[in-house]
Amino acid sequence: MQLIKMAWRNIWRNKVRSLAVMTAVLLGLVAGMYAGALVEGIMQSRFENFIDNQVSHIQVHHPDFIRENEVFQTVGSDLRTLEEVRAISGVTSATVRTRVQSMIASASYTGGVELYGIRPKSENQTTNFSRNLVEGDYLEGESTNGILIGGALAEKLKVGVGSRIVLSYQDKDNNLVSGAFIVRGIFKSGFTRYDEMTAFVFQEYLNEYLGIGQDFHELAVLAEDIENLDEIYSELQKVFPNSSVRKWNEIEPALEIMITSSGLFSYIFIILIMIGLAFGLLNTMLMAVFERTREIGMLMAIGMNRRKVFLLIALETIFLSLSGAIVGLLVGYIIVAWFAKHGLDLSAFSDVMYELGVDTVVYPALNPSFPFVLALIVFGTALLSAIYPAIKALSLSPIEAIRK
Amino acid sequence: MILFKLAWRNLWRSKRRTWITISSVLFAVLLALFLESMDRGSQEVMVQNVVRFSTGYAQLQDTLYFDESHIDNAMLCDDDCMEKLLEDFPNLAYTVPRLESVALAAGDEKTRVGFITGIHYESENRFNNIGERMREGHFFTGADDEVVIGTGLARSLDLKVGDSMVVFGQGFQGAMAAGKFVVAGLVQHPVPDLNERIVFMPLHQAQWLFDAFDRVNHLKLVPQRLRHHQRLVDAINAHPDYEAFKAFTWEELQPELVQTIEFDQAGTLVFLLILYVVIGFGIFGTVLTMTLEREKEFGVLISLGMQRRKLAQVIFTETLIMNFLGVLFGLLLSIPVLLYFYYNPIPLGEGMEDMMAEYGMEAVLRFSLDPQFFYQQAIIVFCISMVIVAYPVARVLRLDVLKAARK
Repeated sequence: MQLIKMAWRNIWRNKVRSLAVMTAVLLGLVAGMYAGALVEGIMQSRFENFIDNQVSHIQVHHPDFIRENEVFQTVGSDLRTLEEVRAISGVTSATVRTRVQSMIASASYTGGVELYGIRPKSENQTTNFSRNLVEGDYLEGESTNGILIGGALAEKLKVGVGSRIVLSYQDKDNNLVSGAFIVRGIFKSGFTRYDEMTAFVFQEYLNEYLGIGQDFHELAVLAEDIENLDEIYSELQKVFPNSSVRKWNEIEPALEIMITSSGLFSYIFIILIMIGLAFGLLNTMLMAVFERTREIGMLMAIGMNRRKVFLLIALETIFLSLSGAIVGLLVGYIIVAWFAKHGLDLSAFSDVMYELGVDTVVYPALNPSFPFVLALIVFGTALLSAIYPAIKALSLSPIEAIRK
Repeated sequence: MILFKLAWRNLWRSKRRTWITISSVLFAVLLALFLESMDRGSQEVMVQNVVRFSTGYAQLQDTLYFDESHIDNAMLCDDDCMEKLLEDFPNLAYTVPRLESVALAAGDEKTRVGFITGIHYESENRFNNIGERMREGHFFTGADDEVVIGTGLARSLDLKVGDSMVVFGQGFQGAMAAGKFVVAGLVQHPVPDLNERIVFMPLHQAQWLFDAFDRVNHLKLVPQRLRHHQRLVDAINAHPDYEAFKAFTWEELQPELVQTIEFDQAGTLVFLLILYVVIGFGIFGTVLTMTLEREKEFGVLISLGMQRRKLAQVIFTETLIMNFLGVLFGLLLSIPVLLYFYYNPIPLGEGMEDMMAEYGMEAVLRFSLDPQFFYQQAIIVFCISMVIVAYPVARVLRLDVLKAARK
């Protein structure tokens, strides 16, 4: 107890230096926390946009459809199954689609697209697709030859709402079929490549051309919460024993790659900051020990044992860093919490944010365990950087030290 | 000169203190370089991956092609024209011609959308090592009607090496394009979408198929030194013989990639600033302690009659030397460290290898050794530490001699 008091007082004997070290720890922590939360927030926004508006949480296909893309490789047509899927607890919504690779042509351009036949209503409940429309209308009402295309594709095709375009694809007997469609609406999903490669039509209309009745190739399921995905997954496997049921990370491995690598980057960054802090702390304490050679020698000469000297110096280092750390964690938490509520407006980067599929207002998200992990790292850093100066203090010889 | 001598002697009077200060600067340089190198490395990989298999570092096109990227706007450039380019621009290492268009590709029963691409295999392979991604069969031997297709396309069309494939579509300016080819090989294209569509054929064969003799959609220009692509593009655009064409850099062709990189750099700048603040305070802590420790010495010197200004100059020189040594050693030490990480990049973790290999990427965080950022970071850290030095100098100028000397 005596030692703790002494260490604490020693810290305040040199206010400027102590405050400088504390400020470094504080700023490092606040900034580290904020940067970590910001990266996490951007990733989450990207993830949510991608899941909620494109891939959904789980998809069901014919086991060979993913690789072979054959028109006849459908999941089935039993519409009761869709009801069954919706009834699974934890499922927000589900929709079915017909998918076919197709050539799309206007007077000025010919290209390939992935053509989706959708049920406009349930599609919208699942992917909220209509919100992406920037021109024209969403598919509604009676099944017609209306088509929705991406903005990037519309530019290439040089078409607008009301234009006629021709699509060619193979039907289930591998005959080449062509059909004319009228552009009803133009969308921008936030992913340019996707906008270039994708088009949407009425499922009913497309199925007639393909000759596959009520069949569908893809069933997309949106879950309420990503936490209980495994249960829904196993339920779906029961409903579709002969089909391939895949979760988002199997459907889009690129997304997982991105999340993993950016997470790794944040951690490396935090570690770099901590190394920087530790080194600053170590150097400062080392210098302080040398500066106080005489004082420490005196303490030893009047009978303070070595263990206590060691503890005293170590405690000083730990107090220095921990008082900075506690304030830092608190301030960081408050700042992050404020931005998490009000959002950080990054519209200066709106083009890129759009390209990356991130909303322009980012809400930094603090992983609840993050502050604790950070506190633990700081504590570890403080302990490590406390040891060396304390050892140095021990190696002083009292007699020589006093004479200085 | 006496100043320098004094400062130098002062430094080595207390070696320990000097080394501690030098090491804190050294460490700052090391950390900043590490972070920057990691960031540049990931950007370089991104550019390489994207650029190699899409636009190339620079491209020559017909003037109309940029707005309307269609085979109808393919440029007229035969072998002579390509040779002349190499003669006119010594900066240019080689060119990679391509004639490409979308057409239907059909196997026995199935039909898919194919991305028909006429290439010079030698230059294409030199540029992006496409030959290494060969999975079965071989690239063109010179026999007639050979094509190499993506493994994904082969799967969906049920085609094996030796099978025949029919291509059907529209050629140059509305001409009919139809031909029957033999699958000579299967290649796994690193871009998943393209792997499902790509059909490579020799350039002359594609020109015949699309009725576009001596024409190419674009020529990728590979400069002798990749970093000089802008210079090359400017030179070509200024040359009177090439008025029918226009050269572009990848930055112009892929604004999205540029933006992504800028965004990434903005992020790293924030990280770097945080790092600077943290290491700045670290250096400050040591400099401060050093100053306090020497206050008595300063007080005595001043009372003995040394001018404050002179003393401040000595201290300034001391720290100048320390900072300089710190930055220098930091740079020297960072070379082996960064070299180590350059050759042993940080793995992204278990299970990512296969996933990323499919995209033609490695599951690692790469480091860059671009010399440019070395001196940038060195200068920045040097400036930061010079700002911190203002403290002891100011302190000396305002020192209370009596109090200090009595300590």
